[in-house]
Amino acid sequence: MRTFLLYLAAGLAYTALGIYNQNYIYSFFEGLAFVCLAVVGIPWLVRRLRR
Amino acid sequence: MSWAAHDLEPYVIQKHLGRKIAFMPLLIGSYAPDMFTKWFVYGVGIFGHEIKASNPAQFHRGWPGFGFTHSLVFGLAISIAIYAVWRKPVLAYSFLIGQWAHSLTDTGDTVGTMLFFPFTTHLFSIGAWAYAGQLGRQVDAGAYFSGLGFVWDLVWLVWAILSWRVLTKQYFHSTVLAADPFYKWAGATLSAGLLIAVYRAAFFYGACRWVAWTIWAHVVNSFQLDLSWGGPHWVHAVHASELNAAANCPCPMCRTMRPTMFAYALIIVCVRLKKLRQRVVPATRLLLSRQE
Repeated sequence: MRTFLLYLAAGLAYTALGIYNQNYIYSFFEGLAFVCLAVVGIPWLVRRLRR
Repeated sequence: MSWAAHDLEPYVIQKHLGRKIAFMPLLIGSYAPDMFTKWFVYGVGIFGHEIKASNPAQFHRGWPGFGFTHSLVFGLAISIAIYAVWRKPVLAYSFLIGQWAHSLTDTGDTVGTMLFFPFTTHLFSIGAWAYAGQLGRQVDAGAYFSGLGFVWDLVWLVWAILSWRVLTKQYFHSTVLAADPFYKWAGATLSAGLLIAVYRAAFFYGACRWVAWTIWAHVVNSFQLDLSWGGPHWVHAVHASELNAAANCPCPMCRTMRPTMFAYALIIVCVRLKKLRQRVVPATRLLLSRQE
C-alpha cells in the first residue's frame, strides 16, 4: 500500500508538471527519470538523512 | 500516431503471454518505429534555428521517407538481426510483437502505415482520427486528444489498468524476471526497487501523459471535442491519398473502387476464417481420435 501511494503521489506530481510545462511529457525517458527519482531516489535520500 | 497506446500495449500483451515473452524487447519494439524520427517530424530548435522535415507526414510515414519503420518487414528484419546477435528467440519475437503492435495501431489515423513495404508503398489507414503531426507537437496533441485517438488511448489505459496484476512485485519476480534476459542482467547491478521502477515506467508515463494531455487540451485550453470518424475536423489532417503518389500504386487495395470497403471486407474474411477454424479444428481432432 505504501509503495502504491508513493507511485500515486509521483504520478500526480508528474501529471501536474506535464500540464504546467509540456516539455516534461514529450519523451518516455523523462517519465523514466522522474519515476526513478520519485519512488527510489528521494525515499533513499530521506532514509539516508534520517540516519 | 498514438500518444499513450504504445506505452500501455506492452503491459496488456505481457498479461496475455506471461512467461512466453520478454518485456524489455517488447517495449523497445513498441517504441522502435518512432524512436529516431519523431523529433524531426515535430522539429527542434537549435541555437535559434528550427530543424524540421519539410514534409513531416511524408518523412514520418511515407516513401521516400522513414515510413518503412512502420512496416511489418522492418520488424522482421530487426528481429532477425536481434536473433543473429543474441541467439535468443524470445528476444527476437518479443521485439517483433511490439513493433507489429505499433505499426498496426498507427493504421488508425488518416495517414496510416506502409504495412507491406517493400512489396507496396500503399498506406493502410482506417482513418479513425486525424493525423496532424505536420502542425507541430501542441496542435497535434490538441487534435489527437479531441478525436477518436483520445478514446483509443483510453481503451488501452483501461485495459492496462485491468491488467494491474502485471505491475505487482510478485508478478515481476515470478514472471517478468524469469523470462527477460535484460532484467536478469540488470538485476545484477541495480537494486530491486529501481529495477521494478524501470519496469513500471512505461505504464507510469503512458497513464500520466494521457491524463496530462487531456487536461491540457480541454481544461487549460479549449480544443473542441469532435469524436466523429476521421475527426477532429477543425484541424487540417493529412490523408493517405496525399502521400506516396497513391494513384500509381498497383496493389489490390488501391485498385479497388473503395479502399476502405476493401479493408473492412478483409477484416470480415479474417474473422470468418477464424470462426471456421474454431469449428473445423475440434471436428478434425474428434475424427482423428475416432479413427485411432
